[in-house]
Amino acid sequence: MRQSLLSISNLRISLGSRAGKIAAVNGISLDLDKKSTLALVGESGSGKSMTALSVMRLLPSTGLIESGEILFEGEDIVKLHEESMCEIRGSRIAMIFQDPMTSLNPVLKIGDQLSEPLRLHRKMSRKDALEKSVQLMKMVGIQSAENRIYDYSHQLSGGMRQRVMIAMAISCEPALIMADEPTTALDVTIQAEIMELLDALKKSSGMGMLLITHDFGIVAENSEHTAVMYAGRIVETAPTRMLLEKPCHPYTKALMMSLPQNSEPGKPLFALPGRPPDNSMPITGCPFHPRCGERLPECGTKHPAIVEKEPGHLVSCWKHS
Amino acid sequence: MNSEKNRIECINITKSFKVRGGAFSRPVTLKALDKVQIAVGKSETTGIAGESGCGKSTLGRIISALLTADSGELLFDGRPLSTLSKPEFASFRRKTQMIFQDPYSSLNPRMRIGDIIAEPFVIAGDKGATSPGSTVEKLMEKVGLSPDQKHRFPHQFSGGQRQRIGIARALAANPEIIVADEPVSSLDISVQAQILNLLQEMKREFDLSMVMISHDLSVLRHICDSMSIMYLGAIVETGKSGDIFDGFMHPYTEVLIAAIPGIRKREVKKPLLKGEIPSPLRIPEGCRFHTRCSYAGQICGKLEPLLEEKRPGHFVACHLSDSIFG
Repeated sequence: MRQSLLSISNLRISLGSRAGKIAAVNGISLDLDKKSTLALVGESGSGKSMTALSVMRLLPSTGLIESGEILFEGEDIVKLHEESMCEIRGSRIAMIFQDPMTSLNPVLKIGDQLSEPLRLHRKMSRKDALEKSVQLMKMVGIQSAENRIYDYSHQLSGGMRQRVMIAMAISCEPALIMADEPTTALDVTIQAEIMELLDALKKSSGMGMLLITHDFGIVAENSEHTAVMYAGRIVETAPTRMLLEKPCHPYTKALMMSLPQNSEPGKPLFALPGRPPDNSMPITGCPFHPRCGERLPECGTKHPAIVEKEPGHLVSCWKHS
Repeated sequence: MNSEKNRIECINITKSFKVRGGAFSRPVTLKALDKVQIAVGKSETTGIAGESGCGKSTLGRIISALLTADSGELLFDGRPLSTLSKPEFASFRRKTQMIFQDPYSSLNPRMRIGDIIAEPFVIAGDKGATSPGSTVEKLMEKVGLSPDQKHRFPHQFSGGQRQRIGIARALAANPEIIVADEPVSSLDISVQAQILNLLQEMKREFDLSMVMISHDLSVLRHICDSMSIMYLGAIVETGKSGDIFDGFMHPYTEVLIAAIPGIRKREVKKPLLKGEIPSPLRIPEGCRFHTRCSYAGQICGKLEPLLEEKRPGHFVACHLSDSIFG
């Protein structure tokens, strides 16, 4: 079998809280190849960010990987020592966070922040690292980079900060980049530029990308594969084109129908009733069944198995079993 | 523009703020709005779109009289706001309500939501507003909240529910005009659809005029009758939303619409903007967009284009729009 870049199988993550353990991620499996992008779509609380954080082994202190494995280039990240993890983190796997304002250090100059991973992982001298930082900043489209390295993050605009984040993420030429809502805090025009930049970098360096988003437009334009998450589970996964053209799971269909772009102006939008389930309660049956318009009798009692509708198109729904 | 049909009309509204560059530098003037004209028709929804920092929220605050303009006039039912008597102004305040973007910071965390929604009634002198079967409970039901939740605090609700509380509070004052500043931009897609539908329903039921501020053109296209596109404090294009969406005549509008990531495959390449948005402290001479415009010609850097009616009801501020989009 061909080895994928990232292969997650049966991953379960729990979060401790006063109310007891919450199953944040409930047995998900996914595969990501080199040079391709896998989009992880879902609403807040669906577990998509937790999945990404677990790959970096950066779960919050209350979070715990209960079971499953995360194979990165054939090595199980779950079992790695923290020391070996430190060598991978930022060097082989990098992450771009949603909010560039809070994820850059406000008291460090941009140049010093960019140099940090280079000096740590590549053992570069201060001077070389700074030179490389200037190159990286030019690569991500920051003008007059020679002067910008002496700026602090508050002196940059939102789009610029996100470019700095991207420059930092690609500085050690990682094999895998994880982008958690990289453009949510940005204007549409800047969003388009940032996504184009990420796409170009992916093509030139051959890295794989796990793209977390809730925007189907971004998914359509920037990913080869898509996985839709609901209540800690992947409910449907397929090549992006196939998923958008022929969505099978009622949840995916509902999300697409509720987009203003997909309905006639002035007419009421399709609105999914109810709310996602409370993850601290045990769920019987399909987690989506209370809100599902195509519910069958078995949906409330047994969890649906994953079936392959078409090659590569997996769906977890009783209607399709 | 026919002022009889308009609930609110802004004429040449200008607003600037003094900002300090650093601790010892002299304050500089930031021109947030530059001679803005906008009209909100009776029972109509008007959209205001643009990138962050273009002045759309400032305009929303001026329309709801939370800020006063430096110059220009705001007409309410055809009467300048400056000529209203004190009680008349108070009633204008009541009739114009705002819904804010962030449902987390716009609700007082120490008040129970029943009291939050009842506040407009209490101000109006109706002390029994929260009693069982009262208007507050009816309003809560209307916006899709259960009346038994009125004793809870805002943190006990999800983002979508909080936005419903914000809507109920705005409706409690029995308004005629609602100014909604990015009401759905912090919500998930499925919740966004619920809230947009609720706003539409409420608008119809209470016969409201609405100003909808958003950076999401697909949302505006869906619920607005007309819309205005703003760039660096000025309106560059305004008209019926369908006309703007399907027949835009300003290069900036073209860029904004092209930048919306679409689900369907796109044949044409996106025209991208050149460079960063200029600082509002140094608005470019001539056309304010010429530094980033891919069509810009000689005249654009010299002469500021004015809003001209290119087609019936469709105003554009661009020297070259006829030759580009004509």
